[in-house]
Amino acid sequence: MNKNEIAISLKDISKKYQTETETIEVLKDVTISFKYGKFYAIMGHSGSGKSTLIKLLGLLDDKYSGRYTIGDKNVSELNDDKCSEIRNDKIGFIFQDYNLDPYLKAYENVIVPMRVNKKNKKIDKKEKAISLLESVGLEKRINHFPRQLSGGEQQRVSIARALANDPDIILADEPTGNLDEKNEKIIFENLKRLTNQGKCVIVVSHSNEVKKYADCLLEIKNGNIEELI
Amino acid sequence: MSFKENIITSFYKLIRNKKNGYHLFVVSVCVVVLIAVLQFNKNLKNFINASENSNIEFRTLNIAPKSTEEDYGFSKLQNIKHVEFVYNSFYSSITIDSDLKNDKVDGMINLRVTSDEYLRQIAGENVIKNTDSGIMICPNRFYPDSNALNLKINEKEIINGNEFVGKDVTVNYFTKRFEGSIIVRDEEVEQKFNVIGTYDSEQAMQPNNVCYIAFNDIKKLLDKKVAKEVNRNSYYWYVIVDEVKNVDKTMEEIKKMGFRIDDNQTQIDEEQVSSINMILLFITILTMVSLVTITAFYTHKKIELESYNIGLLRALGYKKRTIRLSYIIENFVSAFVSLLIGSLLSIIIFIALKMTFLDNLSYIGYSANLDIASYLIAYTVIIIVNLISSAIVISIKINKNIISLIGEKI
Repeated sequence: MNKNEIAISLKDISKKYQTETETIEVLKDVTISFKYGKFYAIMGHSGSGKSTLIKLLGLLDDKYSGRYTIGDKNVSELNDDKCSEIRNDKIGFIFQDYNLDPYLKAYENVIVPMRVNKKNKKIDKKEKAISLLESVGLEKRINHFPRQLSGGEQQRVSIARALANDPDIILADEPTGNLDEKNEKIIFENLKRLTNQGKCVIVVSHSNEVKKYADCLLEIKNGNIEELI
Repeated sequence: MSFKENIITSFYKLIRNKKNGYHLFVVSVCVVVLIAVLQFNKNLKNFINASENSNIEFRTLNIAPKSTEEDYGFSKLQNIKHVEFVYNSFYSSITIDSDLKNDKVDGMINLRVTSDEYLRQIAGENVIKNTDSGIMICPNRFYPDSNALNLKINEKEIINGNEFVGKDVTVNYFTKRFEGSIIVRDEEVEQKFNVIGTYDSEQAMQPNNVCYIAFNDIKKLLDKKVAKEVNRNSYYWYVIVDEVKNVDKTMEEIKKMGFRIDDNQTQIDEEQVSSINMILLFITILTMVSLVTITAFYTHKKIELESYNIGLLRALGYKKRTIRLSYIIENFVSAFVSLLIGSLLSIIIFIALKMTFLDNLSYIGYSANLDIASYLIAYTVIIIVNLISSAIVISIKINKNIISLIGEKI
C-alpha cells in the first residue's frame, strides 16, 4: 500500500433500521473515500450513526445498500467467507468494550486472529504476539488474563490483537470510551503511530482529545458525512 | 486453525472456564447412570439366561404318582421323549452331619441326586452315574455349614473343594423306627464317600454345601434313615427334562397320559420372563431418553453461553465452518473428559458395591460383572448427543448477526 492511495471507498451507502413503528434511515447515500497513512476521526452526537458506519466498514454488518470497495475489491458483492477473509486479513477492529476472551491470556488473545490467517502458518505465533504486546508497552503483562489487566491495558491488548495479521486498515469504535485521560492519550498515540506505518486508521469517538491526533475530522449529521477539517 | 491448536485451546477453555464445570458434572453423572442401567440390564439378562440354562430346577417337573399304575407311573414317565431322568422326590436330598465340622463350620452338608447329563454339564469329566456307589462330587467353593442353605456365607471359611478330591468325607446319621406312634432313633451309622471331583456351584446356582452322590447311595441312606413305615410311594416324581425349551411339550404329553402336574413347581414362566425383559427394556429406554435430553439441554446451554465468543471470532474473521468445527471439537473434548470422569466414578462405585453386597448375590447365581459393551454404548450415546446438540446450536448461532452475538456477552 502507498500513502495517500485510497484504502476504502464508499458510494451511496445507506442503512436503515426497522423498529416496531417506523423505519429509521441512519445513513443516507454516504459517499466518501479513506486513504492509507491517514488518521480519520468520525464524530457526531449520540445516535447519529457513527457506530453503525464503523461496523459497516468493519464488515460486521452486511445489511446495507450501496457500494463499498476496499482497494479495488467491491466487498458489497462478496459472500460471507470472502468477507471473513477480508475481516481477518485486511482489517483490524478495536472495540469499545475491548471484547477480549476472558479465558485466554494476553498473548493468547493476540494469537486468536493469527490462527486462521495463511500468512502465519509457518511463523512462531507466540513470538509474534509477544512482540506486538511489547510494541504497545505490555511486555510485563504477557501471561495475564483480561481480569488481571486495567481498562487501558486491556485496550492495548485489543490493539495488539488488531495488528496480529498486519492489516492495512485499523477501525476503532470508541476505543477510549471506558478509559481515563491518561490512558486515552496512550491509546491515541498508539493509533497515530500506525498511520506512520502507512495504515489507514479510522476512529469513531466523541472525545475532543482525538482532534489532536486526527489528520481528518469527519462528522455524521442527518445520515450523511461531512468533512470538518 | 489446525486440529492440534483446536484440541489445545479446547482443553485450556475447559479448565479455565468454571462454568464448564457444571456441564462436565452433569454429563459425568449421566455417564455413570447410563452405564449403571446398561450393566444392570445386561447382568440381569445374563442371570435369567443362566437360570434357564444352568439351574436344573427350571426343567424339573413335579408329577403326582399314578396309583393306578403298578410302578406308580415310573416307567411310563421314563420313556417319554426329552425326559432325562425320573426319581422319587423322597430321595431327592438329605441334609446330614459330616466329619468336616470344626469350630468355624457345623459340618452340615446337603446330599443330592440329579441326572447323569446334568452332572456332566456342571462337573465335566468327573461324573457320577446313578448306578455308582460310595463317591461324591463337592462344590469348588465348599462351605460345609447349614448357613449355606440360607445364603449366609462367611467368605473366610470357604474351602477350596479341589483340596478334597481323592479324599474321603464321612457322613453320620441315626436310623429311625416307630415305637408305637412315636419315631425314635435306632442306631448311629457312618458312611464314607470318596470325593472324585468338584462342580461349579455358582454356575449350578446351588448352595455351597450341596454335594452330589449316586441315586443308589441316597436311596440306601434314606431307606435306612427314615422309618420304613413312611410311605415312599406317596411322594411325587421328579422328572428332569433335557432342555428348558422342551418343558412345555413334555408337560403336555405327561398330562395326556393322565398324570397330574404340581402347579407349585419351579418353572420358567415365559410370560413373566418376557414381562421382565419388556420392563427392563422400557426402563433402559426411558433412562436413555432422559439422559440424552439432559445432556442435550446442558450442551445447548453451554453453547448459548458462548454466543459472545462466537460473535467475537466472527468479527475477527473466522469463517462459519471454522467456528462450527472448533466448537464441535471443543464439545467432543468436553464429552471425552466427562466420559473419563464418569467411567472412573462408575468403576469405583461398582467395586465398592461388589465388595459390600453384590458378591453375596453370586450365591443365587447373580453375577455382577463389568460389561465393556455397556461402557461402549454409553460412550457412543453421550458423544453423539453432545456432537449433534452442539452442532445444531452452533449452526443457529453462527448465522446470527455478529453485532447481536457480541452484544449477548455474559
